[in-house]
Amino acid sequence: MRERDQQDFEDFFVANWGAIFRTAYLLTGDHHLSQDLSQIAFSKAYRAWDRVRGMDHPRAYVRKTLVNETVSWRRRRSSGEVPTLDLPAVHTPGPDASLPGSLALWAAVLHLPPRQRAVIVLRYYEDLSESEIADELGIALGTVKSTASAARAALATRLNTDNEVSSRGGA
Amino acid sequence: MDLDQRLRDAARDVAEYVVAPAPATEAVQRRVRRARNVRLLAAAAAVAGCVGVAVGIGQLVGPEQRTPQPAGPDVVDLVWSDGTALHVRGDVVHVERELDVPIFGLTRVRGGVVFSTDPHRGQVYFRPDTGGDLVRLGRHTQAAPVGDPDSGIVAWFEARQGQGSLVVYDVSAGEELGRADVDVALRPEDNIIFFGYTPVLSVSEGEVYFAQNKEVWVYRWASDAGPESTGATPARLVDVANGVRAERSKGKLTFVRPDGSVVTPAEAGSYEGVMRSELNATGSLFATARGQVFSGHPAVVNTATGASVALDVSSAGDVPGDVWQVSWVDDATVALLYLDNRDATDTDVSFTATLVACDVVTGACSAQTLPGDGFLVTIPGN
Repeated sequence: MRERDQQDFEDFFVANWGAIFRTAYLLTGDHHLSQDLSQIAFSKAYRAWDRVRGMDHPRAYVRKTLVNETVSWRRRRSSGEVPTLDLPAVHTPGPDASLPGSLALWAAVLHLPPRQRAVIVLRYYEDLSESEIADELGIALGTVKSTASAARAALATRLNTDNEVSSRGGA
Repeated sequence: MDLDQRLRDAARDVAEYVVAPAPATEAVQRRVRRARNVRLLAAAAAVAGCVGVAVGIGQLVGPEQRTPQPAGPDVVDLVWSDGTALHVRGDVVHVERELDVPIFGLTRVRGGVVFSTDPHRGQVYFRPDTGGDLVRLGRHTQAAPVGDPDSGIVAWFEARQGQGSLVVYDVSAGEELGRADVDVALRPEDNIIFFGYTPVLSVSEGEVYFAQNKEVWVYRWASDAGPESTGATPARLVDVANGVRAERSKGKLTFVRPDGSVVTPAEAGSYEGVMRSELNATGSLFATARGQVFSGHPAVVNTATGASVALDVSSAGDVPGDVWQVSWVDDATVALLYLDNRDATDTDVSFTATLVACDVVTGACSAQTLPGDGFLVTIPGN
């Protein structure tokens, strides 16, 4: 790799590290695992840098790698393992009334199967269309639609259950 | 508020409140330097073509001539990791039964293999050649261990509460031989992005050579003294084994023998690389992937005479990609790890890993392509 290419990669890495890490965190809820998966995604981009650097959106390539790594990583791991947000160790304190509700909702997202979680992150955080998500995950558009629908249904059920439990507890 | 909007808000809130760690720029720089040399090798190998056979074998191994073998060593005999499991001569060994615990660094010691898990778990394990349960040797390690294949001695770095330590352990005796405070700042992400990275250069004959503050230091654990600087830089001192030093000086590769004699391989006059190179345990042979100066092939060099032999990887068939690791299996066998991602697509970024075993006497090689994504595959390093 030429010196200029090396510098290109380093600049790209520094500029995009934070964004990729945040996506990883939304996918995993685990600070360390997010670091690991983000580094793996960048490492793969590095090894393919000759090709990646010529792409219109190199960050999208790294994100694709990250999402697919995360899905396969979770698939390989124990099926009984449920990730939880380790946010208290990493978040910056600040007054935000909506944060507790957001954390509770995202904790529910983390209970979804890996592919459903990936679809939710890409749809609502990365703001991708369903066809873009299909491309990103390498699955059919119909599969994206059914996966998103199942994820929303599961979340709605879980949130309703939580509300009912909360109401009963407060009565 | 509908669920779609709540999800959008929640994703934004959680993402905004997560503090990303600083990018491991130094680790990337190291990786860039290392891979730059591999790219040079690949380019040179392509120019040189896939020709060349074992020449000068007699010079390498001495007067005894052997009959050339039709095939290289059995690849099944190699030890390797797919990133989450250890493969030892057909056995698949997991750290934990239920979880895929990442394996990042492998090394050989007499009687088995020592490896480290991911830096977050930071554990060091010994797997005896005789099989049986894994033996945990240490915790808090932040880099790949390095062992001495002639003994049961292995060294690794630990980091606890901001304090770095170099630990020397004897697997045979089951005891720690030495521990020295070191000023080596290792971050977990360094190891993640630079798989198997370690500042330890070598372990042998009562000495551990390691990089610290841009110099190579030596720790003689039997003495009361702490680590001492050798005055050499990591870029200059390529490897040390049994008193033999492989050095790079002014672009030339030289071997400094224990008696002070200096040997310069004729074919390595413009040697630039410091990576993908390893002395064997006795210091008598040096394996290198620097093909552009050794007939376009990975090669083995006799450190006493400077004579070199090209490893005829083409004898194993078409092996795609670049050499990523070079490793001595024993004094007659070198293992090479090739990684290739030419067939990767935007959604499939997997790598093809091919293990190659070469007989340094006959120059013949055998190869085996591994199934699945080979990105995390590693073979033992010294």
